[in-house]
Amino acid sequence: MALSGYGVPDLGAYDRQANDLQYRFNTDSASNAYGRFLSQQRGSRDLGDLTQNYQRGLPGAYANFNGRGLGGSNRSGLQQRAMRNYVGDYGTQYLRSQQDMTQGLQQYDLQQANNQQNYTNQLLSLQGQKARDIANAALGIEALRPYLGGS
Amino acid sequence: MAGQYDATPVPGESASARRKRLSAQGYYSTTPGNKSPAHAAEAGGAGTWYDPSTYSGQLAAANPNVKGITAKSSPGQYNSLLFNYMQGGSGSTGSTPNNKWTTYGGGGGGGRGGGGGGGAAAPQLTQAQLDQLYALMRGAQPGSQTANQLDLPDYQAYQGAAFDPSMWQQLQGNLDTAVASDRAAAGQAYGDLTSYLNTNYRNAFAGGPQTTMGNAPGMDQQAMNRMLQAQNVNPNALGEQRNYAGGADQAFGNLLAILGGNEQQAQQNRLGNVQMDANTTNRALDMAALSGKTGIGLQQGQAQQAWKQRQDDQAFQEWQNRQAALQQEAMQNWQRGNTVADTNLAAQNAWKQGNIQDLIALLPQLIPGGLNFPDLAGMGLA
Repeated sequence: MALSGYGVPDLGAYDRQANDLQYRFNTDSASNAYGRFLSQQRGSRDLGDLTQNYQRGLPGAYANFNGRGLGGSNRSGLQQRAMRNYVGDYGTQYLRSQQDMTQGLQQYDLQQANNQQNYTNQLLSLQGQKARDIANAALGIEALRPYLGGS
Repeated sequence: MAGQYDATPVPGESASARRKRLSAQGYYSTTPGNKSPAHAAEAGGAGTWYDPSTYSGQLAAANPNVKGITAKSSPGQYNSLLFNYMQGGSGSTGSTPNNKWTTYGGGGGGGRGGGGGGGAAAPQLTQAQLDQLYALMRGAQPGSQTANQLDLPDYQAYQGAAFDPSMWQQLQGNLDTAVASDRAAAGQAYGDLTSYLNTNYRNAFAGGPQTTMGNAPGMDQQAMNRMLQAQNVNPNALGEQRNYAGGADQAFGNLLAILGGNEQQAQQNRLGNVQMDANTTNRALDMAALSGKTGIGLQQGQAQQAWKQRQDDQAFQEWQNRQAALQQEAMQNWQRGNTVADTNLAAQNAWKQGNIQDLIALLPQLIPGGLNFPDLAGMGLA
């Protein structure tokens, strides 16, 4: 309870606490946003690398079947199955990486939501304490009790 | 008393003849030292001539100015001196001749030294004169004094100031004002808080996931499908993986929903707490008001009790004062009544006593003349 002499609420103390919360929230949000940015950048790079490797390996895979007379217009079932696996594996890996990145970003989003909610809650709590102190300061009339015959 | 006996000289009567006559009337003895018959009759024969119980003794007492009369005087000396005194001679203390003889209108007196000079006729009281005298005596009857009642002024009670509760009423008013002001301040604070909570509340978990596979960086589902189709791969081949990703998004969304619901409940709890706090503050203000009013009331009661005690003491003192005044009034009236009654009785007694003495003095004239006393009962003498 931020009370000064005679039970008068120190409203400045609440503003200072609110400013501290705001400051901490801003720094936490900035750090989290930067972490999210790095994570997304890393994920995007991984996806890019994965695609790049896929694309670079794709001609070799076809060439391998063509050299054995299994490619071209006469695609063999073996080639089709092998290429379907190749492409499917790429797609699966891509989706997994993309999902991992998404979940990583969701962790940042969740952290930001938590930061936001904590800030909001603390701010509301602080405001509630401030209001209660103002209201209870009105009970300073209690201090007059000895002068009114009470003990 | 003048004319109360027949010692008046009779014209032509000699001194010796007068003495004989007077002796015959019993007023003195011709023989010094002997009692006359009148003496014996007046005092039952027990007294001497100068005995106050005898008529001659009363004469002597009634005429103290007669020079030479003492208790040792002989009857002869007494007669001589008294005679000279009544004749206005040397026996009188004054130079003016005594006029006792002339009171009854007697004739001119003979010279005392002349011996043979003729005196005036002896005065004789008539019945009319006696009645007139009686009327005068009755008219001189003293009146009765009346005792006036003392009526002191009524006791005026002291009018003290009535108990003045204005000071405590002022305190009560000030307390009411203070409590009302505090209640308004508290209500304003809680109202502002409620408004603040409603305005600034943000549910950070509301709205679902911000990032999903649908908006994830990289290829979207359509691009992936196109790529797969370009490679003659059925896009549905990644369905299982897509289901995993969708399930993960759904799980994250569920998490956010739970957290958001929790925050919403927290917000409702905050609003409810505000109301409870407001009620608590109001109850505390009620108690403060009650306590303050009770204290003020107690102080007023104590002051009023002290004032009442003083008023009772004062009333008792005034009652004592009133009682003392009434007793004093009654005592004064009682004393005055007794004094007046005593005075009236004394005056009546003195008047009666004087009348009796006067009437007794008239006896010598009443008996020879055959006069009768008037109504003695009318004078309260019988």
